[in-house]
Amino acid sequence: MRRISTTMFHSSTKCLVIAGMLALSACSHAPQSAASVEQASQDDPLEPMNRAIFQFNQAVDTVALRPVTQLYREVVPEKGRELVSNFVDNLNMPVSFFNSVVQLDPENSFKSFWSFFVNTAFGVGGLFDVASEIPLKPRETDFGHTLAIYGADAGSYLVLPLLGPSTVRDGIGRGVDIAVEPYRYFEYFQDGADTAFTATQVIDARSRNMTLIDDVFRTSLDPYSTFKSGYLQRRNAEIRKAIEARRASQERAGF
Amino acid sequence: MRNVTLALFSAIILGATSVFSVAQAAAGSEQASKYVESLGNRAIAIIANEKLPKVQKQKQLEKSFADNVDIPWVGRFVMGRFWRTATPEQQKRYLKEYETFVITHYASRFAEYSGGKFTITSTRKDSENEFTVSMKMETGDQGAEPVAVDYRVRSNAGSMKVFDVIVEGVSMITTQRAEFNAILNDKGIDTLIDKLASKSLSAEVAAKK
Repeated sequence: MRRISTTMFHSSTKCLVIAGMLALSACSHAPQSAASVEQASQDDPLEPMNRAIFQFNQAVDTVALRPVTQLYREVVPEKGRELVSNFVDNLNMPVSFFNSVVQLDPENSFKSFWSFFVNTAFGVGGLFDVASEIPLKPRETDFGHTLAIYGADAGSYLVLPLLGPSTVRDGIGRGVDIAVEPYRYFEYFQDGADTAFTATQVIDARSRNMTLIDDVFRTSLDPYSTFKSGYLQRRNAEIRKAIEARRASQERAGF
Repeated sequence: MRNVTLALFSAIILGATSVFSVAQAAAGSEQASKYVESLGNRAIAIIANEKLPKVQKQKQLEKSFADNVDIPWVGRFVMGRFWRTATPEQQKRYLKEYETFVITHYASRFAEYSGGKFTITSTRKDSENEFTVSMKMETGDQGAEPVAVDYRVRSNAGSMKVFDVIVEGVSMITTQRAEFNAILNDKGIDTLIDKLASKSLSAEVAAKK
Protein backbone atom coordinates (compact mmCIF):
# COMPACT_ATOMS: atom_id res chain seq x y z
CA MET A 1 0.00 0.00 0.00
CA ARG A 2 2.81 2.26 0.98
CA ARG A 3 4.53 1.52 -2.30
CA ILE A 4 1.47 2.23 -4.37
CA SER A 5 0.79 5.55 -2.74
CA THR A 6 4.42 6.55 -3.17
CA THR A 7 4.27 5.77 -6.86
CA MET A 8 1.06 7.66 -7.23
CA PHE A 9 2.56 10.57 -5.42
CA HIS A 10 5.56 10.57 -7.69
CA SER A 11 3.57 10.47 -10.89
CA SER A 12 1.28 13.25 -9.74
CA THR A 13 4.35 15.26 -8.80
CA LYS A 14 5.67 14.82 -12.30
CA CYS A 15 2.46 16.14 -13.82
CA LEU A 16 2.60 19.09 -11.49
CA VAL A 17 6.18 19.77 -12.47
CA ILE A 18 5.47 19.63 -16.18
CA ALA A 19 2.43 21.87 -15.83
CA GLY A 20 4.51 24.22 -13.75
CA MET A 21 7.35 24.34 -16.23
CA LEU A 22 4.94 25.27 -18.97
CA ALA A 23 3.44 28.01 -16.87
CA LEU A 24 6.85 29.31 -15.90
CA SER A 25 8.51 29.20 -19.28
CA ALA A 26 6.72 32.41 -20.12
CA CYS A 27 8.43 34.48 -17.47
CA SER A 28 12.04 35.47 -17.47
CA HIS A 29 13.13 38.11 -15.00
CA ALA A 30 14.76 37.41 -11.66
CA PRO A 31 15.53 38.36 -9.01
CA GLN A 32 12.92 40.83 -7.93
CA SER A 33 13.83 44.17 -6.43
CA ALA A 34 12.90 44.91 -2.84
CA ALA A 35 10.12 47.20 -4.07
CA SER A 36 8.59 44.52 -6.24
CA VAL A 37 8.78 42.03 -3.39
CA GLU A 38 6.79 44.45 -1.31
CA GLN A 39 4.36 44.93 -4.18
CA ALA A 40 4.03 41.16 -4.56
CA SER A 41 3.30 40.83 -0.87
CA GLN A 42 0.32 43.11 -1.36
CA ASP A 43 -1.04 41.29 -4.40
CA ASP A 44 -2.35 38.06 -3.04
CA PRO A 45 -4.89 36.67 -5.50
CA LEU A 46 -5.17 33.42 -3.57
CA GLU A 47 -5.71 35.17 -0.25
CA PRO A 48 -9.09 33.64 0.70
CA MET A 49 -7.82 30.12 0.08
CA ASN A 50 -4.45 30.92 1.66
CA ARG A 51 -6.06 32.26 4.80
CA ALA A 52 -8.23 29.17 5.09
CA ILE A 53 -5.21 26.87 4.77
CA PHE A 54 -3.30 29.08 7.19
CA GLN A 55 -6.06 28.63 9.76
CA PHE A 56 -6.07 24.92 9.20
CA ASN A 57 -2.29 24.79 9.69
CA GLN A 58 -2.57 26.88 12.80
CA ALA A 59 -5.19 24.50 14.20
CA VAL A 60 -2.99 21.48 13.48
CA ASP A 61 -0.10 23.29 15.10
CA THR A 62 -2.09 24.11 18.22
CA VAL A 63 -3.54 20.66 18.81
CA ALA A 64 -0.70 18.45 17.59
CA LEU A 65 2.55 19.86 16.24
CA ARG A 66 3.35 22.40 18.93
CA PRO A 67 2.57 20.09 21.89
CA VAL A 68 4.60 17.28 20.34
CA THR A 69 7.49 19.65 19.65
CA GLN A 70 7.33 20.97 23.19
CA LEU A 71 7.50 17.47 24.53
CA TYR A 72 10.44 16.78 22.24
CA ARG A 73 12.24 19.86 23.56
CA GLU A 74 11.61 18.80 27.14
CA VAL A 75 12.72 15.21 26.66
CA VAL A 76 15.69 15.69 24.34
CA PRO A 77 18.48 17.98 25.58
CA GLU A 78 19.87 20.73 23.36
CA LYS A 79 22.91 18.70 22.35
CA GLY A 80 20.69 15.84 21.23
CA ARG A 81 18.47 18.17 19.22
CA GLU A 82 21.56 19.49 17.49
CA LEU A 83 22.44 15.94 16.42
CA VAL A 84 18.93 15.51 15.06
CA SER A 85 19.26 18.78 13.11
CA ASN A 86 22.58 17.63 11.67
CA PHE A 87 21.05 14.32 10.71
CA VAL A 88 18.12 15.99 8.96
CA ASP A 89 20.40 18.50 7.21
CA ASN A 90 22.65 15.71 6.03
CA LEU A 91 19.81 13.65 4.63
CA ASN A 92 18.68 16.73 2.72
CA MET A 93 22.13 17.25 1.26
CA PRO A 94 21.52 15.05 -1.79
CA VAL A 95 18.72 17.46 -2.72
CA SER A 96 21.21 20.35 -2.58
CA PHE A 97 23.61 18.27 -4.65
CA PHE A 98 20.97 17.52 -7.28
CA ASN A 99 20.02 21.19 -7.53
CA SER A 100 23.63 22.39 -7.63
CA VAL A 101 24.22 20.12 -10.60
CA VAL A 102 21.09 21.34 -12.37
CA GLN A 103 22.16 24.92 -11.61
CA LEU A 104 25.56 24.15 -13.18
CA ASP A 105 27.32 25.31 -10.03
CA PRO A 106 30.62 23.37 -9.97
CA GLU A 107 31.78 24.39 -6.52
CA ASN A 108 28.55 23.69 -4.69
CA SER A 109 28.04 20.40 -6.50
CA PHE A 110 31.45 19.34 -5.28
CA LYS A 111 30.92 20.61 -1.75
CA SER A 112 27.44 19.17 -1.28
CA PHE A 113 28.52 15.80 -2.62
CA TRP A 114 31.55 15.54 -0.38
CA SER A 115 29.80 17.04 2.61
CA PHE A 116 27.18 14.28 2.39
CA PHE A 117 29.85 11.64 1.90
CA VAL A 118 32.09 12.84 4.72
CA ASN A 119 29.26 13.38 7.23
CA THR A 120 27.65 10.05 6.43
CA ALA A 121 30.91 8.10 6.55
CA PHE A 122 32.77 9.89 9.34
CA GLY A 123 29.99 11.75 11.14
CA VAL A 124 28.09 8.62 12.19
CA GLY A 125 25.47 8.75 9.48
CA GLY A 126 25.23 12.53 9.57
CA LEU A 127 24.82 13.01 13.32
CA PHE A 128 28.00 15.05 13.43
CA ASP A 129 28.67 17.83 10.95
CA VAL A 130 32.35 17.07 10.44
CA ALA A 131 32.34 18.49 6.92
CA SER A 132 31.98 22.01 8.26
CA GLU A 133 35.18 21.53 10.28
CA ILE A 134 37.12 21.19 7.09
CA PRO A 135 35.96 24.03 4.82
CA LEU A 136 33.30 22.02 3.09
CA LYS A 137 30.15 23.83 4.05
CA PRO A 138 27.89 23.94 1.00
CA ARG A 139 25.02 26.36 0.59
CA GLU A 140 21.71 24.61 0.99
CA THR A 141 19.71 24.95 -2.16
CA ASP A 142 16.41 23.70 -3.52
CA PHE A 143 14.44 23.49 -6.72
CA GLY A 144 12.71 26.79 -5.99
CA HIS A 145 16.16 28.40 -6.19
CA THR A 146 16.90 26.48 -9.36
CA LEU A 147 13.73 27.73 -11.03
CA ALA A 148 14.51 31.30 -9.93
CA ILE A 149 18.07 31.06 -11.26
CA TYR A 150 16.68 30.08 -14.64
CA GLY A 151 14.40 33.09 -14.61
CA ALA A 152 11.11 31.94 -13.11
CA ASP A 153 9.09 34.50 -11.17
CA ALA A 154 7.80 33.60 -7.74
CA GLY A 155 4.17 33.65 -8.88
CA SER A 156 1.42 34.11 -6.33
CA TYR A 157 1.95 33.64 -2.64
CA LEU A 158 0.72 30.23 -1.62
CA VAL A 159 0.15 28.61 1.75
CA LEU A 160 0.62 24.87 1.55
CA PRO A 161 -1.32 22.53 3.81
CA LEU A 162 1.00 21.43 6.65
CA LEU A 163 4.09 22.81 4.88
CA GLY A 164 3.23 26.48 5.39
CA PRO A 165 4.31 29.63 3.50
CA SER A 166 5.38 29.20 -0.12
CA THR A 167 4.78 30.56 -3.60
CA VAL A 168 3.61 28.85 -6.76
CA ARG A 169 7.24 28.53 -7.86
CA ASP A 170 8.52 27.33 -4.50
CA GLY A 171 5.61 24.94 -4.12
CA ILE A 172 6.50 23.30 -7.43
CA GLY A 173 10.11 23.29 -6.29
CA ARG A 174 9.08 21.56 -3.12
CA GLY A 175 7.34 18.82 -5.09
CA VAL A 176 10.43 18.23 -7.20
CA ASP A 177 12.70 18.17 -4.17
CA ILE A 178 10.53 15.59 -2.45
CA ALA A 179 10.54 13.48 -5.60
CA VAL A 180 14.33 13.47 -5.85
CA GLU A 181 15.06 12.66 -2.20
CA PRO A 182 17.09 9.52 -2.81
CA TYR A 183 16.20 7.69 0.38
CA ARG A 184 12.61 7.40 -0.81
CA TYR A 185 13.84 4.91 -3.36
CA PHE A 186 15.63 2.57 -0.99
CA GLU A 187 13.89 -0.62 0.05
CA TYR A 188 15.10 -0.05 3.59
CA PHE A 189 13.04 3.10 3.87
CA GLN A 190 9.81 1.63 2.63
CA ASP A 191 8.48 0.15 5.85
CA GLY A 192 7.43 3.32 7.54
CA ALA A 193 10.97 4.61 7.97
CA ASP A 194 10.39 7.37 5.44
CA THR A 195 7.27 8.44 7.31
CA ALA A 196 9.31 8.47 10.50
CA PHE A 197 11.93 10.59 8.80
CA THR A 198 9.32 13.03 7.49
CA ALA A 199 7.93 13.33 11.03
CA THR A 200 11.44 13.96 12.35
CA GLN A 201 11.96 16.64 9.72
CA VAL A 202 8.72 18.38 10.63
CA ILE A 203 9.35 18.32 14.39
CA ASP A 204 12.96 19.43 13.91
CA ALA A 205 11.82 22.36 11.76
CA ARG A 206 9.15 23.38 14.28
CA SER A 207 11.67 23.13 17.09
CA ARG A 208 14.22 25.29 15.28
CA ASN A 209 11.57 27.95 14.78
CA MET A 210 9.91 27.61 18.17
CA THR A 211 10.60 31.10 19.48
CA LEU A 212 10.09 32.84 16.16
CA ILE A 213 6.71 31.27 15.46
CA ASP A 214 5.47 31.65 19.02
CA ASP A 215 6.52 35.29 19.04
CA VAL A 216 4.73 36.08 15.82
CA PHE A 217 1.53 34.56 17.14
CA ARG A 218 1.85 36.41 20.40
CA THR A 219 2.75 39.86 19.10
CA SER A 220 1.49 40.19 15.55
CA LEU A 221 -1.78 41.97 14.83
CA ASP A 222 -2.21 39.78 11.75
CA PRO A 223 0.06 36.70 11.81
CA TYR A 224 -0.96 35.72 8.27
CA SER A 225 0.52 38.95 6.84
CA THR A 226 3.59 38.77 9.04
CA PHE A 227 4.45 35.25 7.87
CA LYS A 228 3.72 36.16 4.27
CA SER A 229 5.88 39.28 4.23
CA GLY A 230 8.68 37.61 6.18
CA TYR A 231 8.71 34.56 3.94
CA LEU A 232 8.74 36.56 0.70
CA GLN A 233 11.53 38.87 1.87
CA ARG A 234 13.68 36.07 3.19
CA ARG A 235 13.21 33.93 0.12
CA ASN A 236 14.11 36.83 -2.11
CA ALA A 237 17.29 37.53 -0.15
CA GLU A 238 18.19 33.83 -0.28
CA ILE A 239 17.72 33.73 -4.04
CA ARG A 240 19.81 36.83 -4.60
CA LYS A 241 22.56 35.16 -2.58
CA ALA A 242 22.19 31.90 -4.53
CA ILE A 243 22.47 33.71 -7.86
CA GLU A 244 25.54 35.59 -6.66
CA ALA A 245 27.20 32.44 -5.25
CA ARG A 246 26.55 30.47 -8.43
CA ARG A 247 27.96 33.23 -10.62
CA ALA A 248 31.10 33.49 -8.48
CA SER A 249 31.51 29.71 -8.52
CA GLN A 250 31.18 29.59 -12.31
CA GLU A 251 33.65 32.43 -12.72
CA ARG A 252 36.22 30.71 -10.54
CA ALA A 253 35.76 27.56 -12.58
CA GLY A 254 36.31 29.57 -15.77
CA PHE A 255 32.85 29.08 -17.29
CA MET B 1 15.41 30.11 10.88
CA ARG B 2 16.41 29.29 14.42
CA ASN B 3 19.28 31.67 13.95
CA VAL B 4 16.94 34.31 12.71
CA THR B 5 14.85 34.33 15.85
CA LEU B 6 17.77 34.94 18.09
CA ALA B 7 19.35 37.36 15.72
CA LEU B 8 16.13 39.28 15.59
CA PHE B 9 16.12 39.60 19.36
CA SER B 10 19.73 40.55 19.46
CA ALA B 11 19.25 42.95 16.61
CA ILE B 12 16.41 44.66 18.35
CA ILE B 13 18.38 44.84 21.53
CA LEU B 14 21.35 46.29 19.74
CA GLY B 15 19.11 48.86 18.20
CA ALA B 16 17.65 49.50 21.54
CA THR B 17 20.34 49.74 24.05
CA SER B 18 22.53 52.68 24.27
CA VAL B 19 21.87 55.03 27.12
CA PHE B 20 24.06 57.67 25.60
CA SER B 21 23.94 58.78 22.05
CA VAL B 22 27.41 58.23 20.69
CA ALA B 23 27.47 60.11 17.48
CA GLN B 24 27.76 63.84 17.58
CA ALA B 25 27.99 66.48 14.89
CA ALA B 26 27.77 65.62 11.22
CA ALA B 27 28.22 61.88 11.01
CA GLY B 28 29.97 59.89 8.32
CA SER B 29 30.16 56.15 7.75
CA GLU B 30 32.77 55.92 10.44
CA GLN B 31 30.45 57.42 13.06
CA ALA B 32 27.57 55.25 11.92
CA SER B 33 29.65 52.15 12.38
CA LYS B 34 30.93 53.30 15.78
CA TYR B 35 27.39 54.15 16.88
CA VAL B 36 26.07 50.69 16.02
CA GLU B 37 29.08 49.07 17.65
CA SER B 38 28.54 50.92 20.88
CA LEU B 39 24.83 50.04 20.84
CA GLY B 40 25.82 46.40 20.55
CA ASN B 41 28.33 46.53 23.35
CA ARG B 42 25.90 48.28 25.68
CA ALA B 43 23.22 45.70 24.91
CA ILE B 44 25.55 42.87 25.76
CA ALA B 45 26.61 44.66 28.95
CA ILE B 46 23.03 45.09 30.16
CA ILE B 47 22.06 41.55 29.35
CA ALA B 48 25.18 40.02 30.84
CA ASN B 49 24.87 42.02 34.07
CA GLU B 50 23.91 39.33 36.53
CA LYS B 51 23.46 41.73 39.40
CA LEU B 52 20.58 43.41 37.65
CA PRO B 53 17.14 41.97 38.49
CA LYS B 54 15.08 40.88 35.50
CA VAL B 55 12.59 43.72 35.86
CA GLN B 56 15.38 46.30 35.94
CA LYS B 57 17.00 44.79 32.89
CA GLN B 58 13.71 45.02 31.09
CA LYS B 59 13.32 48.67 32.12
CA GLN B 60 16.82 49.59 30.93
CA LEU B 61 16.35 47.83 27.63
CA GLU B 62 13.00 49.52 27.11
CA LYS B 63 14.48 52.92 27.81
CA SER B 64 17.40 52.40 25.46
CA PHE B 65 15.06 51.16 22.76
CA ALA B 66 12.96 54.30 23.09
CA ASP B 67 16.09 56.49 23.06
CA ASN B 68 17.70 54.99 20.00
CA VAL B 69 14.91 54.02 17.66
CA ASP B 70 13.19 56.72 15.64
CA ILE B 71 9.77 55.54 16.80
CA PRO B 72 7.65 58.42 15.40
CA TRP B 73 9.21 58.00 11.94
CA VAL B 74 8.81 54.22 11.96
CA GLY B 75 5.24 54.62 13.19
CA ARG B 76 4.41 56.83 10.20
CA PHE B 77 6.29 54.58 7.78
CA VAL B 78 4.47 51.40 8.75
CA MET B 79 1.11 53.07 8.12
CA GLY B 80 2.13 53.67 4.51
CA ARG B 81 -0.38 55.58 2.42
CA PHE B 82 -2.96 55.45 5.22
CA TRP B 83 -1.02 58.05 7.20
CA ARG B 84 -2.17 60.86 4.94
CA THR B 85 -5.81 59.89 5.06
CA ALA B 86 -5.93 59.83 8.86
CA THR B 87 -7.22 62.88 10.72
CA PRO B 88 -4.72 64.76 12.94
CA GLU B 89 -6.56 63.43 15.97
CA GLN B 90 -6.24 59.82 14.72
CA GLN B 91 -2.56 60.35 13.91
CA LYS B 92 -1.90 61.56 17.43
CA ARG B 93 -3.79 58.70 19.07
CA TYR B 94 -2.13 56.20 16.76
CA LEU B 95 1.41 57.41 17.45
CA LYS B 96 0.81 57.27 21.17
CA GLU B 97 -0.51 53.69 21.02
CA TYR B 98 2.17 52.68 18.54
CA GLU B 99 4.95 53.81 20.84
CA THR B 100 3.60 51.84 23.79
CA PHE B 101 2.97 48.84 21.56
CA VAL B 102 6.38 48.76 19.93
CA ILE B 103 8.23 49.18 23.21
CA THR B 104 6.31 46.48 25.09
CA HIS B 105 6.18 44.28 22.02
CA TYR B 106 9.94 44.19 21.54
CA ALA B 107 10.91 44.54 25.16
CA SER B 108 9.02 41.31 25.78
CA ARG B 109 11.49 39.61 23.49
CA PHE B 110 14.54 40.93 25.31
CA ALA B 111 14.02 38.66 28.26
CA GLU B 112 14.37 35.59 26.10
CA TYR B 113 17.66 36.65 24.65
CA SER B 114 20.94 35.71 26.24
CA GLY B 115 23.87 37.52 24.69
CA GLY B 116 25.89 37.05 21.51
CA LYS B 117 29.05 38.33 19.84
CA PHE B 118 28.97 40.35 16.66
CA THR B 119 31.43 41.59 14.05
CA ILE B 120 30.74 44.61 11.87
CA THR B 121 31.53 43.65 8.29
CA SER B 122 30.80 46.80 6.31
CA THR B 123 29.20 50.23 6.33
CA ARG B 124 27.46 51.72 3.35
CA LYS B 125 26.42 55.32 2.84
CA ASP B 126 22.91 55.29 1.35
CA SER B 127 22.27 59.00 1.20
CA GLU B 128 23.45 62.29 2.69
CA ASN B 129 22.53 61.19 6.23
CA GLU B 130 21.54 57.51 5.96
CA PHE B 131 23.82 54.53 6.47
CA THR B 132 23.60 50.75 6.50
CA VAL B 133 25.88 49.03 8.97
CA SER B 134 26.17 45.29 8.30
CA MET B 135 27.25 42.72 10.81
CA LYS B 136 27.56 39.01 11.37
CA MET B 137 26.09 37.95 14.64
CA GLU B 138 26.70 34.82 16.66
CA THR B 139 23.36 33.69 17.95
CA GLY B 140 24.78 31.77 20.87
CA ASP B 141 22.75 28.86 19.59
CA GLN B 142 24.63 25.57 19.36
CA GLY B 143 26.04 24.88 15.93
CA ALA B 144 24.13 27.73 14.30
CA GLU B 145 25.67 29.81 11.55
CA PRO B 146 26.28 33.50 12.26
CA VAL B 147 23.36 35.59 11.06
CA ALA B 148 23.57 38.61 8.75
CA VAL B 149 22.07 41.68 10.40
CA ASP B 150 21.88 45.14 8.81
CA TYR B 151 21.24 48.25 10.84
CA ARG B 152 19.82 51.21 9.02
CA VAL B 153 20.66 54.43 10.81
CA ARG B 154 20.00 58.08 10.12
CA SER B 155 21.75 61.11 11.55
CA ASN B 156 19.62 64.09 12.32
CA ALA B 157 20.83 67.33 13.85
CA GLY B 158 23.93 65.58 15.11
CA SER B 159 22.29 62.58 16.76
CA MET B 160 21.88 59.12 15.29
CA LYS B 161 18.81 56.93 15.37
CA VAL B 162 18.06 53.45 14.15
CA PHE B 163 15.13 53.24 11.75
CA ASP B 164 15.27 49.64 10.52
CA VAL B 165 16.85 46.31 11.35
CA ILE B 166 17.17 43.75 8.57
CA VAL B 167 17.80 40.15 9.63
CA GLU B 168 18.76 37.74 6.85
CA GLY B 169 16.94 39.91 4.35
CA VAL B 170 13.82 40.43 6.46
CA SER B 171 13.23 44.09 7.25
CA MET B 172 11.40 44.86 10.44
CA ILE B 173 9.62 47.93 9.12
CA THR B 174 8.62 46.29 5.82
CA THR B 175 7.15 43.33 7.67
CA GLN B 176 5.31 45.52 10.11
CA ARG B 177 3.96 47.67 7.29
CA ALA B 178 2.53 44.55 5.62
CA GLU B 179 0.95 43.53 8.90
CA PHE B 180 -0.59 46.95 9.57
CA ASN B 181 -1.73 47.48 6.00
CA ALA B 182 -3.67 44.22 6.06
CA ILE B 183 -5.73 45.63 8.93
CA LEU B 184 -5.94 49.16 7.54
CA ASN B 185 -7.17 47.87 4.18
CA ASP B 186 -9.76 45.69 5.77
CA LYS B 187 -11.00 47.54 8.82
CA GLY B 188 -9.48 51.02 8.98
CA ILE B 189 -7.40 53.03 11.38
CA ASP B 190 -9.65 52.97 14.44
CA THR B 191 -9.57 49.17 14.50
CA LEU B 192 -5.79 49.26 14.15
CA ILE B 193 -5.47 51.62 17.12
CA ASP B 194 -7.77 49.39 19.21
CA LYS B 195 -5.76 46.30 18.31
CA LEU B 196 -2.48 48.03 19.22
CA ALA B 197 -3.90 49.03 22.57
CA SER B 198 -5.20 45.58 23.40
CA LYS B 199 -1.91 43.89 22.40
CA SER B 200 0.04 46.21 24.68
CA LEU B 201 -2.40 45.52 27.47
CA SER B 202 -2.16 41.75 27.12
CA ALA B 203 1.66 41.95 27.11
CA GLU B 204 1.49 43.99 30.29
CA VAL B 205 -0.82 41.48 31.95
CA ALA B 206 1.49 38.62 30.89
CA ALA B 207 4.54 40.44 32.28
CA LYS B 208 2.86 40.88 35.67
CA LYS B 209 2.11 37.19 36.04
